[in-house]
Amino acid sequence: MMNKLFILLGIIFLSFASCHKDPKTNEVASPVTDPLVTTNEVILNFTNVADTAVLQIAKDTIYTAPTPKYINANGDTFSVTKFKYYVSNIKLKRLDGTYYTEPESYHLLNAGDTINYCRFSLKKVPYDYYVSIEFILGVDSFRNCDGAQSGALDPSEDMFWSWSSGYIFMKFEGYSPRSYPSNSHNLTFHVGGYLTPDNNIRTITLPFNAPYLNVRKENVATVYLKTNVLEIFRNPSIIDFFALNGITNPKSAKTIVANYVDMFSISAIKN
Amino acid sequence: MKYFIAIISVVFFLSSCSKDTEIISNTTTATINEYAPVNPPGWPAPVYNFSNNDVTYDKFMLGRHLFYEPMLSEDTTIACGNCHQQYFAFTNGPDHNVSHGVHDLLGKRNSPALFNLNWHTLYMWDGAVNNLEVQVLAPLANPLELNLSLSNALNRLSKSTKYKNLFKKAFGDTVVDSQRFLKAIAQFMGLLVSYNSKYDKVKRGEDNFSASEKNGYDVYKIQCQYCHVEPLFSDYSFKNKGLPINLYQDSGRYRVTGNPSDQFKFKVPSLRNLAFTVPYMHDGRFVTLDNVLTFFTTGVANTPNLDPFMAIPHTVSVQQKSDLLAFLNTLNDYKFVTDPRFKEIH
Ligand code: HEC
Ligand code: HEC
Repeated sequence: MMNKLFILLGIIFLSFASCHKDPKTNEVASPVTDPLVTTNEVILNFTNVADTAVLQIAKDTIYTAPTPKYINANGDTFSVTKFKYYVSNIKLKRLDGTYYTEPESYHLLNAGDTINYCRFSLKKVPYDYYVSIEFILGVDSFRNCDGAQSGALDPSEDMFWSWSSGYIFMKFEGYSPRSYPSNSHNLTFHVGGYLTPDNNIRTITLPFNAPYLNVRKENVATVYLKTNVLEIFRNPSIIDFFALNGITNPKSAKTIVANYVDMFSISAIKN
Repeated sequence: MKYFIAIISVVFFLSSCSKDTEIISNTTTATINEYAPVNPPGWPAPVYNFSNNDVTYDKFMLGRHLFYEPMLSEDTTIACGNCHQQYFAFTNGPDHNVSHGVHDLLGKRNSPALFNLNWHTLYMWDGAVNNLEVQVLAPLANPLELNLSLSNALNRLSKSTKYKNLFKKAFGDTVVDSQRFLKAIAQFMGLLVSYNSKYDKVKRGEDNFSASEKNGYDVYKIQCQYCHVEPLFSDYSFKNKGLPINLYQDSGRYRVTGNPSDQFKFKVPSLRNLAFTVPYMHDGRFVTLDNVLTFFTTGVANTPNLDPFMAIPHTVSVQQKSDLLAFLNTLNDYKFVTDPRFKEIH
């Protein structure tokens, strides 16, 4: 661990969500000076890690294979065969408290993706300084019940539950010798759920350090984010893969959800 | 040295799937467009209103072909239409109490009738499906039903000349994707509206009830309307009617929500078209309406979450029973089960 300080503040608030589109957004257009070019792209680059190691997705289907292995906070070794999650409803906050809101903001990040490498860009971000990024880890409730979707939300992405309609927000699969032999040492953590009392939609807010993200004409800025799989299994609850090696329904996801909200961090910003 | 301050806002959404209740203007379909969505006068606004799925003849026809397409099952032996047959108001028919899927595997539940689906808030006996457009994903994924992955299904379709043509007609090009696929089948299912029973005609002033039917209507209002609400003859809520627990230990809505207060609750089915939908209940345990009424008066089991209305004793005299059956008979829609628009097609 480098000398980094993580201060985690959990702000819990209740909000009324439903399958109605929310007409209120905090989006306010920034003052326009040059009517021709006033926006630029911002690249978001997610690197999936296990603390300091870049996460490698094992192709093998049994744990005994010589795959990259990691150790959770409980001391259990494991490999990862699948790690996919939704990042949606991305917003960038300006110094004055207003937001840039990405339209149709749904991204499926797949640690095994060797084409896009979990990298995508926000389009037409107005020139300005931005102090933080906000997004939903998962999919908002409206799109969970709005019928057949396309793009990142296409049900053929294998991130939609048909036994009880709704998106899987995060799929983590792998192997650990600590998981039951009868279960072929599988690890299967599928988190989803958008309905009370098992609503697992969480909004993540990550502040940027001064001098912040600066969107300007001269350069396309990149925000480097890290997604740390080890966080899924520690803090506040240390997961013992013998006791918990699979969840596949919203009700039993509570512990994992409480853990995984802090798996993201900002590693750098290139303005 | 960097300081990272991560503020995690944990948002508890009080969410629900209540859809827009915008009322679509009533169309007098027969003369204008046989393939336009139907919303009979006096009915509540539908929950599924095709808002992102404009109905056209070609999309409907694509959906109809898909509904009868056995290529959508792993071993290419069965289609939606096998378990949901038109003449049985899109149930599996009298020979099956529970469904038969690929490799003749038996399911655990009775295929429900498919009509007036746009008015359901949730689909399946236990409400597992939240939108008509994603309904298809459930039988596809079910190893006891079609057992075919969505991508395999799309793959098969995109290799077929017939479907290339049908997709082109419907959407302008031959691209087969999940959204088109799902929306087309939803159009077929969404047009399965049954509203031409004698009851409907009486309501429209085109016919009259006999004395016995009229008496039966009153019996219905006292005994059944509490759950089987007019004009759809269901409020599509989830209730425990007091059926003794079956051999599959089917816990109904509890399977989906995991909430103990949902144990043994099943979706209230419509009382329309009962002449065609034998056998009855989620597991097809009753083969006659007589059985159903005998259960109602003498067979209610006090299982967890029994609906309070069922906990009180119900008496139905022999006369009331025969009148009630006469009334229920007015809810059968022969036009619907023989409508050429919905017939099997290949
Ligand atoms: C093997 C038989 C079988 C096949 C094939 C099948 N179904 Fe079903 N269907 C069922 C059963 C059984 C249920 C009830 C399941 C439950 O409640 O858990 C059902 C439920 C439904 C419902 C929900 C109705 C309601 O009242 O909630 C719809 C809609 C439906 N099926 C459409 C389809 C479509 C479209 C297809 C083809 C893609 C299809 N089915 C294929 C057996 C089948
Ligand atoms: C407390 C609510 C309630 C009342 C009152 C009620 N029902 Fe039901 N009914 C249900 C539910 C729930 C089901 C589905 C039960 C299941 O399959 O587990 C059902 C199923 C049925 C079915 C089977 C339909 C099918 O397609 O399988 C028939 C027939 C029926 N009811 C008739 C009646 C009649 C006739 C009355 C009045 C004498 C009545 N019900 C009163 C709740 C009710």
